[in-house]
Amino acid sequence: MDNFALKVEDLVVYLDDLIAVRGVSFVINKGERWGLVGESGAGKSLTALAIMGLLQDGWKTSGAVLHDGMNLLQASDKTLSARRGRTMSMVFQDPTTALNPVAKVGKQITWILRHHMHVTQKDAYEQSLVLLNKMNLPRPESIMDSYPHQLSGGQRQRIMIAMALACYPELIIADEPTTALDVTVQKQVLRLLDAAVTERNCGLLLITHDLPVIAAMCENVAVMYGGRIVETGKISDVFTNPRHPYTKGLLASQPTLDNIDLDGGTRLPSIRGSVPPLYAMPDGCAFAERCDFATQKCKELPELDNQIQRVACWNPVAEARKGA
Amino acid sequence: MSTSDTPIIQTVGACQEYKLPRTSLFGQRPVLHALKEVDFYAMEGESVGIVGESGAGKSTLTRILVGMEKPTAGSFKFKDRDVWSSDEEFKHEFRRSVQMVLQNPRSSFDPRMTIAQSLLQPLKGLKIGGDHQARIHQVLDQVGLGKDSLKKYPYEFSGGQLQRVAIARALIPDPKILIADEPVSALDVSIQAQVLNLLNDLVKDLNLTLILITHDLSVVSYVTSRVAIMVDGKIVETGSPKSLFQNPQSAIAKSFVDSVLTVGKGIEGESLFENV
Amino acid sequence: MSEMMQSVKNSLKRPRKKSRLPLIVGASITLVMVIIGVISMFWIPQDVNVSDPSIRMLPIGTPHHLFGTDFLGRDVTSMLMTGVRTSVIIGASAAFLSLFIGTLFGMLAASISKLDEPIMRTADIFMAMPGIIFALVLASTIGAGYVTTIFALTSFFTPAFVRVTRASSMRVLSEDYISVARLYGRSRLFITFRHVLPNVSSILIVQFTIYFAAGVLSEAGLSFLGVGINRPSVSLGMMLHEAVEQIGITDPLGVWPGLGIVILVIGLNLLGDGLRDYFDPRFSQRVR
Repeated sequence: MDNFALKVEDLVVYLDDLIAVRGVSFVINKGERWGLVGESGAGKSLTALAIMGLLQDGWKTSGAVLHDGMNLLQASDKTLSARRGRTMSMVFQDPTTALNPVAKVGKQITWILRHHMHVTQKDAYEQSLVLLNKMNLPRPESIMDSYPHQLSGGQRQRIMIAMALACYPELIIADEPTTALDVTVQKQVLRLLDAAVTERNCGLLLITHDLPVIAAMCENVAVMYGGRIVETGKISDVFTNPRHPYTKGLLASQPTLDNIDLDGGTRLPSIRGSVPPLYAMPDGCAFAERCDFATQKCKELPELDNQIQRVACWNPVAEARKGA
Repeated sequence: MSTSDTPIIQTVGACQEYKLPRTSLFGQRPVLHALKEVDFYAMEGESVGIVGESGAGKSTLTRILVGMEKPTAGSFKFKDRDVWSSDEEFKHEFRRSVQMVLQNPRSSFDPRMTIAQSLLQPLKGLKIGGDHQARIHQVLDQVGLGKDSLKKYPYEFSGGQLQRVAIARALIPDPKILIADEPVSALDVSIQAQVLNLLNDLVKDLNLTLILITHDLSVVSYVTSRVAIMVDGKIVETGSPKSLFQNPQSAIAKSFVDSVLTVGKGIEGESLFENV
Repeated sequence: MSEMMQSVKNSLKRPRKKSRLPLIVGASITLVMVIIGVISMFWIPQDVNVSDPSIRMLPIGTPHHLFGTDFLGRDVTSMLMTGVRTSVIIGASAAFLSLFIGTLFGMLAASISKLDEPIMRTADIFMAMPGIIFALVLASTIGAGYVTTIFALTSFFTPAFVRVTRASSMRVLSEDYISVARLYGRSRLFITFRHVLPNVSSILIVQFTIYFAAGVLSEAGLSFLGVGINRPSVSLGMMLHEAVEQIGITDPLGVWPGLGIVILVIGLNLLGDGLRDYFDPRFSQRVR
């Protein structure tokens, strides 16, 4: 048995002549929680889909995704299906479209248990009730008997999380799990996810553009920009002392309540320019054109260095550790 | 900075009802009370926020403020005159003075029109005279976009850039009031800052009144000086962002403040990093 | 850059641009057929209705009679040319009229909610009527011929256009730029013709070619049954009708009009497919 829940090696995802993910590597050990942060166009969703084998037709992959003793990129559909939902599961962004609208919730949950764990219908039903209870859903019997459209967004997302947890997977991939929910419900759902992941000791790969969510849920983070990981390390390091100019700019431009002058008059620092489109991605560092520290060397593509907090940059932000 | 005592725009006791589809063959159709006796106002030059969850009534109130819908009860006033009962001339002045920026920039533009054509629409529709080309160049300049944008189609722009074009378009009639409905929700975080800063600058430079509708408390605190919180068709609490965060009174305000996550704090509010 | 990335970069293919071949082939075939039809209005080798039993059943390749003659000595080539003309005119007319009426009512139904129900239920009524029976009734009351056939086909196709236009228009009307246009005081008429119509036009053009083809096929069917075009007019379907009576005696007569129909319909379908591809990825291509 491997020590890790997921090992991604040099993953490249491309469509015809557009390369969306340009060589991504990371390891998630059992029980570890990783956040994959990036804005739209960074390639994080495609990374998740590539790992799960859910890319649309035409998209090709290269590299290796190692899980449960095999390279998922080269596995047959049958082998993948045996793992999807069992050793590795996914929580999608929009619970409305992720749940089958014409099947009752109960049927959807019990199907997973019966298909992967080979339990009887009766046992599956009982286990499903237990799961729904864990999700703090009141009157689970009536929920089992409902259709998705009869429930609220928060309830649907909790059901999706329950479905993802059902078979005690080694790894849960959550792609923007709270973005589509009402603000007041987001924290509740995150709390649940947090508790469930802790209880089952599964690995978590949380993908989002929302930095505070990652800070609250994960210990490790990988920051993506232009299809590559530009910085990675422990959140307590990266978010307090970002080394990559993009990470620094991203953190500074969050309209948060931490450092706001509530009497008004603060100006939000922003990153000038915008993400280059896929078909115009430069050969060198993709962030260079927006970076205040860019030099000629940045025309060459930087790789992640070998420090504990790794950064792919020729001119990383100078360390300013307190007491260093 | 108000220059007079009366609000430049306000609703008094506004109610809005929508008739829902029939549920039975006989009897009345059920009614949705989207707004219940809402008193909302903004002074000239003020930046006000309207915060609420989906279904709270923000969009309905927005449609009334922009003149798209007439309230079923109560009054809606601009410059202290009731809008719906006034003459055509005043209505025309109102339409020119209140402009809107919407959430989804891609949906805000006809994909078959160039930016130049789209920017011409308010000038033609509202029958504004003067040098149209000059005015268009002027607003593009104000939002930091170049003249080369004019020949392009919406699909050639990124979300953030297109939202700037939307703001430019809103500025064309030289409005007094800008209503922004979730203007940054569909944008990336690093771009949100650009657009919010732009809004702040414009408010200052042009002495605009800004009404910002959003569900994001942090956004509202950067741009507005007063916030109204809506629940279930009513305004339940108003106050400055500071007082709301430090001392929320209503249940919904409390849950809003509680639901805000910041980078330095965990889910239970615990401090995450030692050396911050 | 890593070896993996390098090898991927080396193996990249240029994007497979959707082949323009269907569009070109389809357009060419359609164009050729239309030209044949146009020519036939001014010149045909022989009069199609003059029978000359002395030269009946000449084979193809006979001088002066490229495709031979039929059982009454009439020149097949002339009949084919005229037949193509008839099919094109009827198919195009039915499609065009349905497009016109359907678009009008579809946009009305989408823009004015009070008109929505009446228009859609009327369309439903028309859709519920079996087309062939309707044509039969018309043929027996008004008499068969060009006008009757076009009328029958138009009634048959219009409801589909109404539906498609209504659905597309509603989609467009739900976009924000329509609300913005209303706020600028634009009239309903302006919004319909300057915002809605251009944005649904690509769908409608494709639908037009589809129903053009359907019209050709339907006319052939009706004429074959005898309730469409009859002598002295000539249509491909009518030729099939006459050929059927000769099966067992002079078989090949049905082949040419049949081929004509097949080629014309294939050409139109290819044209429709090609146009759909031409319109579709263009605006969504780079906005990924």
